[in-house]
Amino acid sequence: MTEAAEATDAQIVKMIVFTVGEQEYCIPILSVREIRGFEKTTALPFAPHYVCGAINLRGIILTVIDLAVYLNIQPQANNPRRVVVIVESKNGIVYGLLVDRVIDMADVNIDTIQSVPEEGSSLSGLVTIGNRMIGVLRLETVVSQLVEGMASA
Amino acid sequence: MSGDMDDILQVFFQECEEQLLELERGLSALSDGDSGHETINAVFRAVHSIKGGAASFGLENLVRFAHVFESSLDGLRSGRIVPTHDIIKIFLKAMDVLSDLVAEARGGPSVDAGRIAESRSELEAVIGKDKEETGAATEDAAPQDFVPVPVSFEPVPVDFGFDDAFAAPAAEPLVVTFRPQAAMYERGDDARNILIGLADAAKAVPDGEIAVTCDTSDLPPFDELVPDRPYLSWRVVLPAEVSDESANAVFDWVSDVCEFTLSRGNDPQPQDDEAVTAGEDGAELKKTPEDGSPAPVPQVEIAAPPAVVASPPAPVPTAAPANNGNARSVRRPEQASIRVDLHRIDDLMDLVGELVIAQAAIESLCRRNDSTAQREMAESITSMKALTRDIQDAVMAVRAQPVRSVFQRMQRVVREASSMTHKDIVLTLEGEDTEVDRTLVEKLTDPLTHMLRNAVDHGIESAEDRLAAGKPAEGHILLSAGHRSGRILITIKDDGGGINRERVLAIAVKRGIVAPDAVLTDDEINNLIFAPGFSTAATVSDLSGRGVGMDVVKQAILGLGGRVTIHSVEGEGTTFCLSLPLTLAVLDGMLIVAGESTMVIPISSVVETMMINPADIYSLPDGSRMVSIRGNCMPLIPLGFKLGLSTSDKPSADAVILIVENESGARVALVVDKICDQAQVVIKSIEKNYRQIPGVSAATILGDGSVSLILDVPALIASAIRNIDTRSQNTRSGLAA
Amino acid sequence: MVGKRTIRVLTVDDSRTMLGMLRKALEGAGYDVIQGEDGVNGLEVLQAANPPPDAIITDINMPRMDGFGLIEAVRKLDQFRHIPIIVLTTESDPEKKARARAAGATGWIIKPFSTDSLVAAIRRVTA
Repeated sequence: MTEAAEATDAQIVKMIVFTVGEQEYCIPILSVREIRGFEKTTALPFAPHYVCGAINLRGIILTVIDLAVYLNIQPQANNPRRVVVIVESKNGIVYGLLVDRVIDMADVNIDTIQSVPEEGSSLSGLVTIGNRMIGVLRLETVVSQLVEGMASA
Repeated sequence: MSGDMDDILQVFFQECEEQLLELERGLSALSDGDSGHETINAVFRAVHSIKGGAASFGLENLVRFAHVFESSLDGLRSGRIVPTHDIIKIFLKAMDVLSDLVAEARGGPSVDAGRIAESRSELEAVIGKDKEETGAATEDAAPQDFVPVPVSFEPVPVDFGFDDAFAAPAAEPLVVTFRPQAAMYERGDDARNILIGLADAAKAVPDGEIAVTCDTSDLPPFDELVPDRPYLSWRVVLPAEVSDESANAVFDWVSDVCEFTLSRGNDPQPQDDEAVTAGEDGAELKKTPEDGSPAPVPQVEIAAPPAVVASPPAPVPTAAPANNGNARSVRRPEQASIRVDLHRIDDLMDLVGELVIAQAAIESLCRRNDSTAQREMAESITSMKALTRDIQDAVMAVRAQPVRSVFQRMQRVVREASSMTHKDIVLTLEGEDTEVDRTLVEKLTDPLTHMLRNAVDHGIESAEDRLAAGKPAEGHILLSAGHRSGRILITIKDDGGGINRERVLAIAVKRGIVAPDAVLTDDEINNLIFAPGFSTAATVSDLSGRGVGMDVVKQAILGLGGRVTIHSVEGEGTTFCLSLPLTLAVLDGMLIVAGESTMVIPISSVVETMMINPADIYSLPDGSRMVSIRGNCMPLIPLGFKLGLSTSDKPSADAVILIVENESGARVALVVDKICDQAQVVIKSIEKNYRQIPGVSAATILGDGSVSLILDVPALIASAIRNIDTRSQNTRSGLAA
Repeated sequence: MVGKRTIRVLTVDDSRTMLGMLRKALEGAGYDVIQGEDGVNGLEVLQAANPPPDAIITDINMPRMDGFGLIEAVRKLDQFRHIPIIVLTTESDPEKKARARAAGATGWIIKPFSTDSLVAAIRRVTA
């Protein structure tokens, strides 16, 4: 594993793995800016139901997406240790993903990602690590729904 | 080194902008009948400066045109040309060309050669150049006595610009004699300077040394000596390779105040027939030369001083590249810089000084632990607050810029638009000195350009229509700026035909913007011109272009936190009012709570606050409510409910009413849970990482670090009013669906 | 000769571009440069300067007080009666030269100038 990570093979992407409810998901670690505790958000009018609200990250204002709601999963009950993964998109949009717990880092070979049949999915596919099934989040879809609004509102 | 030159080039371009503004101002003063000496001089100087700077950078296109322009302005200066209306028009046109040439030099689009030539020949016609001269000038445009030389700060070997061809080996040494007159010393010159000049000329040739002899024979006895009188003359022998020209050049400045002769050969006797005499007193010259023997006086040898710069045999510095400057379009990106009055920076420094003192006071209070410390601390913090606000104001003052630059650019917009539409229109500017934040100044250009073109194109009628309506043929547009209650108000007022509401409504219905049976107020019809896809022009004109309509203008103004209102009287004209915040960075707000959220309402839009009185509320059949405030009815908006933040629209018993107003005076009553505080808040974009939220203009960060939304009052008012007035439209679409 | 002091030059021009170029050229050649932005300001800078400049370079066409006015004013000051003054001119016509001379200018430089011609001119009057 470690050797593969150090290889210059472009097919290997380092991922950060987290849980939402009972399921595990991952996103490329390069898109992650930081991970912080979940604090009170400011409610936003007319926001999609999966948007918790806005927070202040050192002077910039960004919104936090409750991934459990977004992915339509039952979140872990009464989890006081939920964290926000702050993500920056390729075009510079910063937002937070509220998850139950960050559990792992993993090197994922892009070629081993199996696609899911769902059209326009927020998942780009599934990957098997050990004997766990992990969903690969398609961040482009998430951010475009967040920014473009109306369609998903 | 070229980096420094780039910096100076940026200064030059900045200065060009200023000079163009000066020029515009001067020409418009001229057309207002002010042909005073100072005005004309200022106009001349503006073009002169641009030319001078451009020449230094080898911007040939610019130099050539500026030169012709300058010559005709010189005619104005000398009184040969009278600034008639037509001539000023020619100057204005030339100014536009000049301004485009500056833009071209800056890397902008190249200017159409035909336009330049046309303006040139108009200018030449003004000075009354005759045909053949004009012809010559247009082809080989460089003025003969004025050849641009790009300045290079690279270490170029010293070259005095004397043509080496003249330095053809002369067999015999060059002998120079000279005798300064008193006037030469009065002008700050000195014989020593001439000796150095000759030594330099000698140094330019191999082994170039000079032999100098001073003739003191005219020196009177010491007690008769008058300090100011010149008594000495010199004889200098230079190497044969030194040309007459280079020696002559040494005397260029003093040819009227210093007698001198040049001759060849080591012959001690100067040859009078070859003598170059520029002095008036030729008779004395003949007495000057030595009388045969070269040694009556001490002889001084001056070796050529070491070169300032190392000098290998050098090519003459190359002249400006032959291309017309188009190839120079690769420029370093422009650096944003502003000029600030020094006193504003000083004010800021003073305040910062006070802030440091206040901070020290607070620190020392923190260390104390007695009974009065707490109270003193509160006082210190209050004064710190005041200081912070003052600093904010001072920083804003530094960023503030008069709208003049944008406004004056509009003269050109109107000029071009009116010539394209064949209308005679005068644009009057007022309040150009009104200062606004610099970012705002820049962002105003496009919307204003569009609105003025619109006024020329659609506002002002054709001359025939105007005459038929009993108006002067010449149309007038007034562009004014001023401060009003913490905002800047810009108005564009034309004396045209006004908005033809019947036609506007018909078009809006045709384009499906409003329902055919919609009942709209005059004001609403006026505002239809801002609807996307609306254009009243019967034919798509060159000016207004395609697709880009007034809706874009409105969006731009809204984007700046401003709003637009229209006032129009048929037959009398239309007035557009833009109301803009002074700055885009901070806002005076009222902190309120609604639906459990703390939000900010701009104080400028709050008219008054009061406790709610259930007796004054009246429910309408659709569930919305009106409230009567001292007999005036207005929509009542439960803010939390309206924004979807609370489920109930029933105001709590201790709710507060905020009466807010938009720029056109429409009012609504917002119901909020409570009012917390007033504060100056820093405006933060919420759209940058999210999306636009209806009813919210931006966000800010409160003292506790939490995010708070800033309400978009005009939008809230608009939506409340729309709810009432466009119901027929809603009914219709409801039926259709 | 006195010890090697840096030679100080006062340049007067209403164009910041020109002032920038003059400063660049002169400082590059080792001169100390002080500047004035028109005749009136140039005169103020001159009188306030410590040490006083060794030479003056001035533009002719300036607001408030032009170059000729400046030269005449400088020549009336006892301290600066003999200071070398070089005028910058875009035109080399004899009339301009004659006026510059009559006003008391030591010499002139034709704009646009090259660094070399500028330095040579200053050297000629201050060496």
